[in-house]
Amino acid sequence: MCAGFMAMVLWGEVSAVSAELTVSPNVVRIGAWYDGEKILVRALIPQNCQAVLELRGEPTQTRLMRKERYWGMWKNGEEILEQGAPALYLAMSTDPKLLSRSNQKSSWGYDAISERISFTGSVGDVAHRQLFDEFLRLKENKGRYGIFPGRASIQVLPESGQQVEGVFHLPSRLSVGTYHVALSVVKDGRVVSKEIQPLKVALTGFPAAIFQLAHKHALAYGILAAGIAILSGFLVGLIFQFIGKNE
Amino acid sequence: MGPSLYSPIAENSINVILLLGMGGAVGFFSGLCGVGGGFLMTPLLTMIGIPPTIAAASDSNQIVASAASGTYAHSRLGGVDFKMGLFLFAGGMVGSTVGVRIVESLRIEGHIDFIIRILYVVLLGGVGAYMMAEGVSCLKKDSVSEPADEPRKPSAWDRFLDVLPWPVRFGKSGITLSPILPLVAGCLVGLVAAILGVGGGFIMLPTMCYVLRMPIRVVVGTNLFQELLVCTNVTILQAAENHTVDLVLALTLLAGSTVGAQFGARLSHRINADTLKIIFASVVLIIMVKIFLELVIAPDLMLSLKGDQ
Repeated sequence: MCAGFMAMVLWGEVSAVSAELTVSPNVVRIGAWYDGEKILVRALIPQNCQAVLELRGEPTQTRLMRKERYWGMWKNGEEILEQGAPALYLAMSTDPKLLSRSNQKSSWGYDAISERISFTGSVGDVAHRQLFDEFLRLKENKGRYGIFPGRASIQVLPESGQQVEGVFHLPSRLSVGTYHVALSVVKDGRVVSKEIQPLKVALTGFPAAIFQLAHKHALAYGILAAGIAILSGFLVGLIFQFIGKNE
Repeated sequence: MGPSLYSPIAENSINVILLLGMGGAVGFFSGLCGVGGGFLMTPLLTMIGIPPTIAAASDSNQIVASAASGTYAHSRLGGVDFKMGLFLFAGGMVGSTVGVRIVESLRIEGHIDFIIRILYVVLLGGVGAYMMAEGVSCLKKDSVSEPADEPRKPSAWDRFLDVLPWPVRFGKSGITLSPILPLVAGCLVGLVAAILGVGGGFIMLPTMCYVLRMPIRVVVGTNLFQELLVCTNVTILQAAENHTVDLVLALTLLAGSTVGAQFGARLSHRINADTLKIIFASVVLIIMVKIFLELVIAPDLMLSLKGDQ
């Protein structure tokens, strides 16, 4: 009974200092000069806890092809359909051990994705683990996935609690939509608190106008593109003719 | 490093200085040798992370600009046979329209990049090797030979050309020829142009020289003129049907290529024709070897995204 009372007090103590999560900026506007974005994540967590920060996109369906040899050359084979993995996944932790890969069940990291992901189609006799590792390499190569154990800083605050801070680098190749930043507070290997904040990514300005035109008025867009190119070419020709006459 | 521009169709940021430099270099080559440079630009764009179908379609857009710039420069120097160009374009319209449909179905299937690479290797290898051999053997001779300017014994091919029906006089080139040949040649080049995202110049140039027997002084300019027309058609079709033309990418490339084409055009009239052939053939063969190695060497990444994901 005494132990139960102590457990209630300790649990109550953790729950009483709930984690706070702030994401800055929480809206990413992709304009003409967009080249990636730094997302600053700050969180207040209780004492004696560690944290895992994740930035993830919505689960998507991805159509993949696996290289195979054909008459001595490498070509893409038949389609493999991947389901369940997020479009973007970046994670960092205060303790490096929290994001190390293992074969145990996990709520975050690549292990968690491995449990949710499925590959169907022309998989052949390739093992799930091998396919998943190749999938990770593809995503990391494109900057869409990344694991950074121990990259989040943690600082004890004088009054109480700890401040966690991490910076995610959004890749330059990014689709519009809603992403999520998640904070998992970990104590003694258990998740004691979880907070989620949305992160919106939207096209703005010239790229937005071009995208709308290209998809909603495709023929006009094509004529415009060709027309601009022709005029530009002749204009440059005229300029050089003028320069030549003055030489 | 310089600023980066975001391409909304490619959904990627690209360094502006790099794009301008690529455009300028390819445009210079275009004006110099009379080819659009597409067979250089499309592989270069895929190397920096642009999906192949978007690279090919956007490249067609920038070829329109550099071809317009080069056509204007060559026409001022009397080097464009507009009549021949229009016949080549008429055939090119049919070929490029069919080519865009083929691209669409291959893109959905997901095998388009393999088909494009095989075509590049075969075409570039054949054209490059032939022109290199031709250029080197001509340089070894004392006199420079230009097919339409020097009297020579009619070959079997010349006799075949004389037999074809409905001969038409092409005054600028100084030849009389049945329009069937330029129509068929234009059709084949238009097909290749749409699939590979090129202007087709590396096929059209040898075709004009050796099949149509046009003099070299009008080959470069006329080729640029027909490329201008064919690529305009391809750009409109790719934008309307496949949504793969990225205007931001194309505008940045053409800013460099239109200027480069002017310098190349000026230099081309000061260089010996056979030297031009060797320069052109050398670049073609280097590109061919690079693409061939990508086909036969085991890839670093076994998985790839299908389509334009």
